[in-house]
Formats: sequence, structure tokens, C-alpha cells
Amino acid sequence: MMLLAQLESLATWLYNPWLFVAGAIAVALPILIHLLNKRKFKVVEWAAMDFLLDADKKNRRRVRLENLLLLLLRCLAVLLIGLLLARPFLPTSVTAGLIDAAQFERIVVLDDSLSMQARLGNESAWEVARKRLTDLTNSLAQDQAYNSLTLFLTSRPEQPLFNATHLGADSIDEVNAAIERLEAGDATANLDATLKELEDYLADQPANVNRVVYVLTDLRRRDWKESDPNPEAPLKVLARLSKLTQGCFLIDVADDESRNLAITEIQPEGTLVQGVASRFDVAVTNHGTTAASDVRVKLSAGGGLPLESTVERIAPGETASVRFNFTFTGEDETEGQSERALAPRQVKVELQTAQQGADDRLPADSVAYFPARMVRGIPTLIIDGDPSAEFGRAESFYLRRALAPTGPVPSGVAADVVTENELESLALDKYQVIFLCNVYRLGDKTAENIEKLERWVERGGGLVLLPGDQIDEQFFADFYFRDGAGLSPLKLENIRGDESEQTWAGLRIENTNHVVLKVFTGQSNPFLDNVKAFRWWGATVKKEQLGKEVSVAARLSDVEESPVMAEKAFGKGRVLALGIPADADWTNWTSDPSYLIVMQELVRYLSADRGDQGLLRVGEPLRQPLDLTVYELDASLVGPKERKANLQATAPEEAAGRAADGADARQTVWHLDYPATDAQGFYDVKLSRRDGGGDDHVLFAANVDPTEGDLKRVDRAALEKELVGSNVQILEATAQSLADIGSQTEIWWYLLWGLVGVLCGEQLLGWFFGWGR
Amino acid sequence: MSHTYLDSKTLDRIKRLDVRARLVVEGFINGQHRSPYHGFAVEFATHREYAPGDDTRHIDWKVWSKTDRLYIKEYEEETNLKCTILLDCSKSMRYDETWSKFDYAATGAASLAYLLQQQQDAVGLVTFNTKVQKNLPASSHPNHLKLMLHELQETTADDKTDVAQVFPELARQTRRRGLIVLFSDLFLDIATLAESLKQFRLRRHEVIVFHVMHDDELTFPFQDNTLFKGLESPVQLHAEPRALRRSYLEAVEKFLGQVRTTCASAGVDYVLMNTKEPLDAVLGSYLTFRHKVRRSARHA
Repeated sequence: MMLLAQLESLATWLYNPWLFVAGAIAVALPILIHLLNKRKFKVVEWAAMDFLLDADKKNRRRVRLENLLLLLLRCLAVLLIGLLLARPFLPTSVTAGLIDAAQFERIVVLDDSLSMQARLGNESAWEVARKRLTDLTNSLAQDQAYNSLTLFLTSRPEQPLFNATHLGADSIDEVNAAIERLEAGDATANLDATLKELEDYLADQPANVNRVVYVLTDLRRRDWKESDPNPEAPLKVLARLSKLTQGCFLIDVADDESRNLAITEIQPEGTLVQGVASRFDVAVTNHGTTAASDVRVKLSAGGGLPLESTVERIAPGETASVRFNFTFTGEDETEGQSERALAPRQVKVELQTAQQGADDRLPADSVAYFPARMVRGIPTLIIDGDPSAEFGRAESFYLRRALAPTGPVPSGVAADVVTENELESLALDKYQVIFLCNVYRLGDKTAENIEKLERWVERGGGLVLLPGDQIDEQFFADFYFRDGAGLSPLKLENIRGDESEQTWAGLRIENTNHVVLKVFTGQSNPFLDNVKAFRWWGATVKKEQLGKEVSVAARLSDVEESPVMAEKAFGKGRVLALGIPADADWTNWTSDPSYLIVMQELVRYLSADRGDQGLLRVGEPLRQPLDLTVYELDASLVGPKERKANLQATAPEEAAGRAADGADARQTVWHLDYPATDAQGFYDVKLSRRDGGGDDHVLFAANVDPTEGDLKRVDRAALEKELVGSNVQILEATAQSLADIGSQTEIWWYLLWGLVGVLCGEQLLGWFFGWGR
Repeated sequence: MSHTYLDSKTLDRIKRLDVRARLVVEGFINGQHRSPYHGFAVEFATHREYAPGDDTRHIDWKVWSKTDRLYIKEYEEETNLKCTILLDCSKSMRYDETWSKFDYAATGAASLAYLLQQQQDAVGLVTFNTKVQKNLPASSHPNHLKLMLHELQETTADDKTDVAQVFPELARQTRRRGLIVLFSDLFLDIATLAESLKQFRLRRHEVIVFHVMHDDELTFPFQDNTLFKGLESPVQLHAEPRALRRSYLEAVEKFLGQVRTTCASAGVDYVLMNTKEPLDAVLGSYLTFRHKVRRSARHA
């Protein structure tokens, strides 16, 4: 009974305790052999006995010691053999649960986020992880027990790559081939979702199978967020998971090297106009802990020669901004094509470091793509409330010329002029800026048109209100101001000023940092001083809104200090309301050069946030509205890495939900959706025109998440502290092959080496004692 | 030649050689009788021009009469040799049952006796261990060899070696100066050996020591666990030969060195005989060596 109890305690760290006991007993063997050997000897009658006795006297102690040593080594060898056969393992709670199980499910969560592409010497973290995984599958396939593999990828948690696939000689090649085909994506690790998915998965599974979870990850702080109190934080979920399974292993496949340079942003100044110089701001972040020097930033647009700029030094954690000026030249086109959209250009920014990548462990985020959607000019709509065919009489006469002056240099603005009645039939979506010049009612369907306009602004349009003498303040307040809820930031009260033009008011800039007016600030700038307003709309802003969504950029110098330029954020768009009209009736501004500049800047300013259209994050679904009146239902897509897809437009879900006025318009505008933007690069959507006029291209670009480039790792100590009490172990993948973890923490391999060492030592010593001297 | 200790092969090899006293003193030989060994004439060696001080008796007058010059005739020395072979028949000589040291030594002794007999010199044989066992006085009678061979066959090695009494006694007995040849493994006290050898040298005997050692004793080739039983003493030792080999060989080397120095300081020729080596080779090379030494000594 005592013996059995002893054996049971042995079984907590031995697979075959009986064999160990046998080994312990067998230790007696060498001793026995030694003793038997002593009894077996040759007898020689020897003459030269004196010499022999002499030699024996000198050596007796040494020989005894040597014999004892050899005997000990032999006993040790036998003991080791016994131990080896008994297959000891380190008694972890994981293995303890596994001992008597016959069926195992190995659940592997493989982090295939961008940061896994970080290089570790000659390999990437991803390659290390994949190799470890293959090691695991190989060793499991040879295992006698029934093993199955479930593989989750963090990039698509909802679809496990393998679902309890049996691992055996018949399936191993297939499984390994599938693993070999996997590549680390450009997306971010969707750890929370993956672990949640895993938790749900485990909840549904029968409990009679032993499960071990391996999470192969690079343990970036970005993903693992140590000391996050949120109960759904990855570590918390993992700790919960470990309770549902026999054990969790967090296998660290990366190292602590975090030097990395990343392009975190690429932003054009505004709408990209063909033939007009465009500015690109490129932000380069040094995520490392040491300064990076001589970072070359290269911008290449289309097939043109690349621009290059060198940043001498980026301090650790700092972001450097590089500015490129680039003019997209247009191809020679025939007049007939001018109605067609311009082909988009591919802009690519790359980083090169002087130290050949030593500063940059993750090359994938050192490149950024930008879809330069070109226009001939910023599409601008001028709605003229007082049209006239007479020269200089039309309300929009000056504005139109200011925006698109005749001459060889393109202004970068393409202005269409319509009357308010033409508005109804117009699709506003193609315009980025709309000027309302002294427009009284917006056509017959006033309410519908106002709502249409509001929705257009909400989606990001830029509206400029230029009220003149046709405006009725009551109507304006009812439809445009609506007590602060409408489009206009200003409540027009009455027309003020001196009709005889004897007195006037000047312009005073309130917000000197306003982009439009910035050029006029400063002592030596005389431009705006010459502007005289003889009449103007006395206006007020709603006090509660001031400083929030409404700001006043300029006021007049009259007694009331009427706001003459006020801005309001409306949805994604902006509305700028002026207190003066665009023509020359009330002011002399139109004859001043500053008029042209302000109007041009206004267009640019209001269209500024439209420059980054088509810019996506990797994993963000691609969506392109498709006007079925113009384009065919089917479109094709060419993505990075030669990826091709055919897309079919679908009707928008909320088609019936909204107000009636835009309903018929939107019924013809469907959407092309492409969710699988999981690789960085350009996505070129080709739309076929219904009129047979060929294809139009819409360019998208997916860039990697800039935070993914931050290779900083979770603090191991904090991590371990947080996992105390849970059944999660953190292991280094580089030191040990996963197969060893797979067969748990068995130490037979070390024992084998120990045994070989002992046997070699025994032989060597035996030889040395016998012949070496 | 049916005798055990007379090996025809050995004899064939050494037949051509002769045994001579190294130190030949005039008057030691009883008259210049004709050499039995070198044919029927007095062995003439060479002519040499007379130099003042030379004995006029050796002048070759015939040459003088022809050439009017004085030449001295030189002869090979000749001697009447009386040789006593001392053979150690202590128990230690019994080592190795198939071809023991004693067998080896006895063959050596017999061969030598045969050679001397052929040369018509007188040979005597003394076997001893702690005391003289058998003493056959030197004689050149042809039958004497047979007697000796018979005696060798009859002898069994026994008891220890002790020369402390044997050698002085023998030295006293052998009055006439002569050649003493000792076959032994010399497992005895070195000081005693030195003293005893001195006894012979004091009486101006010429001594040759053939030190007979078994190959096992010189190389100690044993490997397995072995119980060594003393042949002469009752001690026994259970040992692992491999572990002792080095020390043993050191001890043997030291012993051989001591023996060599002892012999050298006593002016005694020393020859180490390994029983593994063919006897004729050892004897032959030694005798040839002696021959050369003598010639060069004479010409000097």
C-alpha cells in the first residue's frame, strides 16, 4: 500500500512510474556486476612479485577511488535509463490534465497581423510562428493519441481555418500545405474578436475532449494592452479561456527590438487638380527607442520621376513631417473627352534608411499609397439668383471670373453657373463647393431643395451663402437659419449702410488664423484695407453656438460690428455665410485683388477635406456609389498582388427610409461593396459606362494601420502578474520548438543527453584510468 | 642431438662465432700452442714495421732476408679458456609454463657450452639457487658436454635465489682465472649482487651476465582481473593489471637500470635477454659485439 501511494505521487511527474522503479532497482546491476567481476579472475604465478607489490602499494588508493567513480557513473547511467523510459515531465497543471486523456484538441490562435512581418534577424516573426506551428502539427501527427487542430487567424476570427481537423499521417501534408500558404496580412490583429469567438466556440463544444490553446503572437502592446481594466480585454478573456481548457500557452515569437519607421499619414492639401501644384504632407514616425537618421522619403506619382526628401534625424517616438509639391500634368485630350472624369493617379510614398533596414524592422509600413483622384478643377456650382445676359450685370459675373479667370494658368476651379430653377434637376454629388449668390427661394420646391442642399452639406459639401438684395430676412430665417438648426450660421436682420455710398464700413479680420484670410493678416498687407462696404446685411449669430459649431472669421467696422463672414460646421460639411453679396452692387470688393484671392481660397478651403477620398485602412470595406443611369451594374476590381474581383452593385438598404425628395435620385444610386481589403495597395475599380464611352476608373488605396507599426511590446513582468492564478503560460518560441510544448514539458530529451554524457564520461574515464596513464 | 636444450637452429646460427676472453694476459695461456679453431697453421694476422721496444723474437727474419727491412709478425692471440656457466635455478625462473625463463637460460647455457666445446675450451656448469645445487668442474673432454646436458635436463628450478654465499664460494673454488657466465633473472638484492660480482672481479675472472627476463615481466600485458601468486614468496595480490601497469613498468625499469649500473661499475658484461627474442640472435649479436670490441682493443 505504501508503495502504491509512493507510485501515485511519482505519477504526477512520470508517465511510466513503474519503469522508473525498475530503473531504480536496476541500479543494483552495475554493483552486482562489479562484485561478480571481482570473483572472476585469472590466476598467474608471477615471478616479479616485488615490483608488482611496489606498484600496488603506490596505486591502491587511486585505483579504489577510480573504481568507485566508475561504479557511480554506471549506476547513474542505469538510473537515467530508467528515468528516460519512465518519461518524466515537469508537473504543470496542463500536463497533469493530459496524462490519461486519449483525445486532444489543439486550438491555435495565430496572430497574422502586420506587426508579425517584423524581421528578427533573417526571419520574420511570422515565419518563426509558422515554423513552430508546423513543428507542432508534425509532432502531433506522429503522436499516438488522437489529435485534432483548430486554427483561428486573428485577421478573420469568424472563420477558423481548420475546425477540429484530425492530425494524422493521412492529413498532415494537407494541413501543412495549408499552413504554408498562409501569409501575415497587412491588417491589424483582431484579438478581442478572435478570443471572443474562441470563447463562444469553446462554450459550444462537448467537454469530453482535452483542449489546449496555443496563442502564437508577437505580444505587441498595441494588441495585448496589459493592465486594461476592461473585462473583455484580451488578457482577461485569455485567462477565462484557460479555465475552460486544459491550458493556455502564450507563445512569444518576437523579440524586444522595436526600431521601426512608419509612414503614419499621407495627406494632400486639398482637392487634386490637374495642372495645379498640389502639396502632400507625409508624416514619418519613428517608433523605435533610438533616433533614426538620414531617412529618405520618396514620393512617386504615376509613372513620373520620384521626388525625394531626406529627414536628417527623427528622435525616438517623434513624427517628422515631409512636404512634397507635385504637379500632376494632364495628358493631351481632345475636346470631346472633357466631360469624362480624369484617370486617377497612383501616388506611392516609400521610406529608405541609410542603415539598410536596421532602423526599420517592419518594411510593410514604410510604404504608403495614395489614390490621387484628379479633377480638371474643383467642381464648383454657382447658383445665380439674379442672372442676366448683360455684361457685368449678372449676380455671379465677378464670382465666376474670380474663380476661373481666363488665361493660360489654370486656377484649379471648374465652376458651373446655374439658375435656381435648374437646381432641381441637378445631381449635387459631383460638386464640392456650391455658392448661393443672392438666391431668394431655391426654385419652386423650396423645402425639398433646401433639404437636398442640407443633405449634400452633411455629406461633406462646402456651401457659401452670399446674400444680396433679393433676400427676404423672414424667409431666410425660416428656411436657412431655422433658429440655429438650419444651414446658415447668420441670422440676417436688415440691410444696413449708406445707399449714397458716402460712408462705408471696412473689413476687420476676427480670426487671423482662418485659412482663407490668413494671407491678408500682417502689417504690410494693404489688400483688405481698401475694401469698402457701402451696404451690408446686418446679421447676428446665435450666442449659444458661437465658439462651438459657429465661428466668426471677419466683421465689419460699423457700430454694430456686424459679422460679415461666419462659418458653421454642418454634418461633415461646412457652410460659410457672408454678409455681403458677390457682385459689385454693395461693395467695391470685386474690383480689389483680394476678392479673387479670397474666393479662390474659399473654394480650396471648403473642398480641403475632399482630397483624401478613396483612402482606406486595410480591412476597411471599400464602398463606391454607382449611378445606374451612367454605369453598368457590374464592375471589376484589380487589387494589390494581382488580385482580381468582379463586383455587382447592390441597392442601398435605407433606400426607402429617408425623405421623399431625394428618393428617386437615390434609387438609381447603388453601391459597389468590396470588404476584402486585407492587403495594402491600390484597388482600382473599373466602371463600365452605359453610353458605350469606355470605362471609368475609381481608385482606392488601402494603407496599413499606423499604430500597428508601433512594435513596442507588453511588459512581460506585468503580463505575468496579470496572468497569475490563471492557467496561462508564456513561452519563448525561439528557444524551444513548439513540438516540445506539444508533448508538454517533457524532459526526456535532456535526460537522453545526460545519459549520453554519463556513458561517454564513463567510457572516457575507463579508458583514461586503464590506458591513459 | 636429441637433447632438449640444444637447439640445432640456434647452434647453426652461432657456430661461426667463437668465445674468447677479452683480457688476454701473457702467461695466462700455457704456451703458444696451435690454435684449434683457425685451422692448422698458427694464425698469422699481419706484418708491421719494427719499432724499438718490440720483442725481437717476433721479427720475421725471412722478410728481412728478402727486403733488408725489419718486420714484426703479428698473430691472432690465442688462449686456453676455462669457462664456468652459472645457471640460476630458483623458482622464479619457472615463470611461464610453456617456455620458461629457465628453459631459455638452459638452452643458452647449453649452446654456449657446445660452442666452447667445439673450440676445445674447458666448460663447467654450476646450478644454484640459495646454494650450489650441482657443480660440474670445467673440462674440455668431449663427454663432458653430454654430462652437462643431462644435468640441465635433470634440474628443476626451485627455491629462492641467493648469491650471497654461492658466489664467493664459487670464486674461491675457481682458482684459475677464466670466464664466468651467469644466466639469471637476478631477482635478488642488488647490493648482494654487486658484492658477489666483485668477488669474481677481485680474482680477475671475466664475468658475463645474461639477464633472463620474460617478455611478460618486461611489458606486463595483462588486462583482466588477475590474482598474482608469488613464485618465490607466499604473497598473492588480486589486482587490476591495467591500473598497475605504469607503476610496475617503472619499477622494472628502475630495477634494470640498477642492474646495469651495478654490472657496469663491476666491469661486467651485461646482456638483457628477453625470452621472446630468439636466443641465437641475442647470443650471436653479443658474441659478434665481443669480437669487434676485442679487435679494436688490440689494434688500439
